[in-house]
Amino acid sequence: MLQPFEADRTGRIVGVFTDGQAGVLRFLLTGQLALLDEEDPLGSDPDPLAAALGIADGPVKKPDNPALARLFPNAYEDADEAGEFRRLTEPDLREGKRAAARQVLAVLEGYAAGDEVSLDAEQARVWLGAVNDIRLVLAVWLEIEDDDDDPFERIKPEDDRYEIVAIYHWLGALVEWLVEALMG
Amino acid sequence: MSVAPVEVDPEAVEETRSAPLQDPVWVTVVWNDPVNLMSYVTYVFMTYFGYSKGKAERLMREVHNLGKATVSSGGREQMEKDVAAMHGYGLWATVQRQDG
Repeated sequence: MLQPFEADRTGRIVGVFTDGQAGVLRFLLTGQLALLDEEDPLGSDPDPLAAALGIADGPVKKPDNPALARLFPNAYEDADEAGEFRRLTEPDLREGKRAAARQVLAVLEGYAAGDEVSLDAEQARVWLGAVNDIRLVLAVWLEIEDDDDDPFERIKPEDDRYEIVAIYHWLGALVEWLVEALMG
Repeated sequence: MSVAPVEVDPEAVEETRSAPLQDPVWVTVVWNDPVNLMSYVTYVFMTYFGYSKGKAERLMREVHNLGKATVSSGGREQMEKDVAAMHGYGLWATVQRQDG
């Protein structure tokens, strides 16, 4: 059963998951955190001094994993400029996405079916970002490449990815609900 | 996808990041992708740039219909900050010279 996240009268954004839904989200968030550690020269625990001084160098090359390449696309057409931008920005972007995934995962770790997830606006923005990032990664697996593509038409029940399509659509609904609740 | 009616004339609220008087040489371009939802893209433009709903929706439709839109302009450093922020939100954005 799909139950929307909605703003309540106090302005908090509340929703409820089933055990299955919470489990799927935990699984996806754990996978997302593992993905964010791939191809990372700094690792998930960067040198704190270098980080504090802003001298922690990120990678120059676009990630090989297409899911990471989607999360961290080239910012310039020119390869040298793209590399320089990446070196300076990718560590912080990775850390921001990690922090968001960890924050959502922490809420879901103690979750029991029917518990109310109650978020203030700032927390809801973090959830929205984390869920949207997972959608971007699933879309790479599902090879969604143009606006008119309906993966439910293309990916058949015997395909291993069939269940991912349903999850992808559910996460889309979650994104819509959170956006709607945040924008009132 | 249903879109709420626009309450304000977007042209009337041309606030925001349009750079000061000197020529803005650099722009932030957001590219269409088949995954980010129209409502989410609008939310990002409103939240990060502080654009009105009308302006954010106009830019979102430009991205969707034309494949890309210039969403901010100004100095190179600010554009790099904007593009990094767009990547943080999961939008596909690039820094370009305005004429390039």
